[in-house]
Amino acid sequence: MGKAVVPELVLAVRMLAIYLLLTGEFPFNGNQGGGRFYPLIELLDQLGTDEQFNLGVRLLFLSSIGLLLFSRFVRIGALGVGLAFVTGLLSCQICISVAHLFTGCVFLCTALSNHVTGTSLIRFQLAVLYLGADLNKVFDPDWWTGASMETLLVTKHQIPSYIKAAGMFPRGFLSQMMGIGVIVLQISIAILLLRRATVIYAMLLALVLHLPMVLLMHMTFGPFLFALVTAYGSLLTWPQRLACDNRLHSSVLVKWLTLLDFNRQMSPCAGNAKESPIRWIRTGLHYMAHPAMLLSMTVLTAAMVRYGQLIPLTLVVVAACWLYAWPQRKHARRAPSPAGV
Amino acid sequence: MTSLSFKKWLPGILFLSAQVINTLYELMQDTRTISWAPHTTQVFYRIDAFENGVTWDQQAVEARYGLAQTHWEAHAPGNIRRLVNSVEAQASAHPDSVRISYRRNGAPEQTYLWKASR
Repeated sequence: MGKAVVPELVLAVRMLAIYLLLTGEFPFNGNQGGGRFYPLIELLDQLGTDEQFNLGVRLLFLSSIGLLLFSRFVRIGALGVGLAFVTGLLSCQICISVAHLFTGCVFLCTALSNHVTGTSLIRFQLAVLYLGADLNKVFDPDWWTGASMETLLVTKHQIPSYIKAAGMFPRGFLSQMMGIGVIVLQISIAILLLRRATVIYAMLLALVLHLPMVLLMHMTFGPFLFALVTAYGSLLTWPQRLACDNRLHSSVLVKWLTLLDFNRQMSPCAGNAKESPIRWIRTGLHYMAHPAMLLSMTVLTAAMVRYGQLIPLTLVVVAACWLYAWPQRKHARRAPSPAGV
Repeated sequence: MTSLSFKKWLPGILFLSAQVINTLYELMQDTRTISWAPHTTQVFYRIDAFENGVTWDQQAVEARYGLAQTHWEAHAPGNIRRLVNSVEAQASAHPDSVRISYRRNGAPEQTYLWKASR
């Protein structure tokens, strides 16, 4: 019990693992199919043939996902997935990817967490991510002059809406403001993440920072966006009990959710009120924290990413944040208690 | 913080500290590997390899270096230089020279030249 991971983290890494499987994300991120390619560490070049090495990393990744999804050994599974990601990155020079590194770090932080640290390592991991990203920008004059943003949005991605908006200002002005804005946002988020009480405000600023980039560049940066959502989600308060109100909720849906209630969170819902779409919506929103609902949302997210539906995806993220995260801003935040798994 | 509590925190603190130290170290290098630098630098590059005065074709270059011959690198120009140096240090049948032409964030073009020492 002394090493137990809090349920918020168990849920986060399990959802992330399912998302990785659904989207086919893998530790190697090479544009040539992936696999060992001139490793950064010589030792990794000496471990078997390329085929054996790649198979080994793949087996480590998949068996660890199996372990964290279907057993009590969540930390060992998370350690295996995290190590598979880091090994993949270090053994392939063309696979350098902040998105995959961050995903691996979410698993590794979970592996290093316990009932004392709660979800704090994930919170500090996010702070380190934003601090590191900000330091790289602060010391780069191109981020202050706007050259970096101009190259990213105008030259590289050639985004028509941005080019049109930039045309309304003096040349380079919008890119300069965007560059400085990103620097200010990232350091603000890092500072807000240092205190548990201000996490919701960090989350709000993160939406302002990331979602416009997702929409403008029309990409989710591999598994990065979902890893971010699960990392921030683990910092929220999740209910231990899910109570039914038969005046508001659909008894049919609640009955189905009760059948899938493996954590025994649900209370029974008596009553024979007439079913209606508004009741189904209310039930869906109220039971958002039910693992079956979260699993459905993970599958839905993977499908929206797969079919490039990033505007609806953005709306879902904003709605979830507004309905679930934002109301928690005034709560005195207690450290989560350990999970029984 | 009690001794037990400190022990519970220690692995996580060491893990996060290592990331911060490496990010600071890489700020002083021209590469970004295990560094939190997402899309921080936009480098438009082209790799050309030459042998006996003849330029290698696109397919040969891409097969050798595992990258598109002309593309964007979103971290640092040093990553491409390091890749070419690693390949030429380990692979057989070198070209006579390899030229990397690149523009960082739209700045004037720069060139890096690798030459076979034979």
